[in-house]
Amino acid sequence: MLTLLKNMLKEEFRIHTAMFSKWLFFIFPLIITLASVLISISISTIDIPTQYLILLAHGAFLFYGLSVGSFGLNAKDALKIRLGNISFLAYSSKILPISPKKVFMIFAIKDILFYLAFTIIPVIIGIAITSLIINIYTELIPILFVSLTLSFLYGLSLSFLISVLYSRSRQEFLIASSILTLALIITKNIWLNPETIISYFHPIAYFTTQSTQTLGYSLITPLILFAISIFLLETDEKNTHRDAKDLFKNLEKQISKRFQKTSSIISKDIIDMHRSIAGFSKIIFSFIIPISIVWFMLWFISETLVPIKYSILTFALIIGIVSTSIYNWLNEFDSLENYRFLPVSIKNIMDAKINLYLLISLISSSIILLTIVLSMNKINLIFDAFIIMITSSIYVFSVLIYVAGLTPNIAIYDAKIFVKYLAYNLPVLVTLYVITLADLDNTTMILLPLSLFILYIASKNISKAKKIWTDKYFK
Amino acid sequence: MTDKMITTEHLTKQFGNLKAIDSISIEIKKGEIFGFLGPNGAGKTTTINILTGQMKATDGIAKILGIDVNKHPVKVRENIGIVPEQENPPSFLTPVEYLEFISKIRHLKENKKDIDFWFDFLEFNEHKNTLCKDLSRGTKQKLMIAQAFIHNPQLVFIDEPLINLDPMIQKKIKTYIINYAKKGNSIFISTHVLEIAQELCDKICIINRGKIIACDSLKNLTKESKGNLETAFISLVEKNK
Repeated sequence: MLTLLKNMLKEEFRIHTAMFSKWLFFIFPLIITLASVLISISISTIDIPTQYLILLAHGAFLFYGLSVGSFGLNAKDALKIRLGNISFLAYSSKILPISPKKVFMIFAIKDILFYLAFTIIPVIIGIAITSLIINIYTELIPILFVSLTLSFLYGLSLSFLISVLYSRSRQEFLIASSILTLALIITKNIWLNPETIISYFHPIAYFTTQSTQTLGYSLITPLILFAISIFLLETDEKNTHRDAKDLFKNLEKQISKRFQKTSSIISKDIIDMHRSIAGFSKIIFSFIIPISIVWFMLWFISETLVPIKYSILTFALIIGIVSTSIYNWLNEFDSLENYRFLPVSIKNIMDAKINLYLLISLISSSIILLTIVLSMNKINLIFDAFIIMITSSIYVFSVLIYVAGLTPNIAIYDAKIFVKYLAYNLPVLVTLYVITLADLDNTTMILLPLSLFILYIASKNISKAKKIWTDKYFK
Repeated sequence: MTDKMITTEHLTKQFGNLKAIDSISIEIKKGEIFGFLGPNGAGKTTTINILTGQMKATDGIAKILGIDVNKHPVKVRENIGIVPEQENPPSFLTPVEYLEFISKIRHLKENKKDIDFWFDFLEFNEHKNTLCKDLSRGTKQKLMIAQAFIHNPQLVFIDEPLINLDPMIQKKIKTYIINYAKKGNSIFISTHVLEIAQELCDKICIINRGKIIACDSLKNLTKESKGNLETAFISLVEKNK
């Protein structure tokens, strides 16, 4: 077991260093640490209640765990499509006397260790450095490390369980999630208050009480969730001969009315997403669920700790940013290998992805934003909210496609690319964020020209991306 | 229209310190079936990747159907067919959808008859609606062969043409290739299977460690080995170790 884990870690390391230079790969945690120092120092200068910070930090780690945890969604598809025709140790169970559940458990442990080493520990080190610089809460750093890691594991294990349920059967998933949602709604008066959440979300409870019992609960809960997931994990090859009706012809005909030059690639991508086990549900995992959590957190904070006046605008900005995860999924299902021997240029492929991204992200983001605006009865903010959402979504996407091309899922682990991604995004997003918080008389008058300018830069980014990536992929 | 389907002059590809192919000059004419042979890692796939516009040469010139492939890779791919070494049709399309997709990419007119021809000819009608990810390797290879010929290109590159196919289908494809070349089209075959090369090819080049060590008609190349390509191949490679 240890040998397999060691070799899986080696494999993970080699996948990344095969794509980027070793030093760029190893510098990535340093960048995270640096970013963590900068963010913690900036936060320490603002007068925010400690309770709020604790909640925010744990919420962020829970959210991070949830978003990376969907790897269990459909292990086979994810590995095959994401990593192509290369052979991986995760397939060892097929040729070695080792059970698939064991292989998958080790795969999960490997991923936990990987995320710990490359993101969580660097963040904590950054916070620790800050606490030493400003000389506060130094003694709490080890506790914070444990509680934040536990928050991450809560998210990861929960996401893993949801994913496994979904990949077993969509029906089981729907029944389980309906029961859970119903139970949460019925019992909302019991649990929907900050004290209950803080005391019953064990990682935070452990941070505040530091009791061994709470630590025990915090460890056991994700372990139980992982154990249930592995127990329920479907390992048999089923449906190995799946037939399907011809969707391409008619779909392409419809799409070519709007996107003539890229209709075939767009149609192929839509069919890919529709037919993969995870398919559109990945959009739910990577987009709607995180958005719901952020919405809940914003609501929770504004109701209990700090009144947030323009939460709708802030929320619109968050929707715009998170919606760019759709671009990652669009590339996850597709492989450049499918096009290498066809008369298709990188520009063609990028155009198709851009069109499809705009189509899916803007429609789904608009539905979510509209629902929230209407449910919170903030119709007066609808125009500004849409401007912010569209601008942030298109701008962050343009930066992503510019720095990471058609392999955003892998490229973002390259320190150089990640720094570029942050450097291009931060000034624009901070500006938009300030506008969402500022109590301006006429936000629209400032927002409209600014958005037009940002969208102009985004269009330039996209044009440059097509040129740069054509040269990079054909060399 | 030029008689030369492929011309390369001092074609070189360097990966860091490694010269994967070193100053290759070859010429393939209309109607020729050209065999490109070599031991593992000799540079066969790199050469194919360059000639088909999937990779840029570090140095030298390669013209495919008179088009400079380094300058116009997409235009080259518009005019040729390629059966890649690894059969990788998109996982979630069915074979019918994949051939429709290829037809659209290649701007072919409604061609249901052409698509049906390939299912009948390569005998995989029963799998035409199965998702590609669930196809056997042999069926995937049949599909990749179909996509390479569906637009009737003047030049087709085939990397390991028959490796996963049963003897009956192999026979059919060999006959198809011979007849296809008789119509004035050319086929570039890269293979380890010397029997296939001996059976099909008019001209053969052997590459070893990135360099062409022999290039001649099958007859001339096997003169000393009394017509046995295997003996000739082993002797040439051993000599150039």
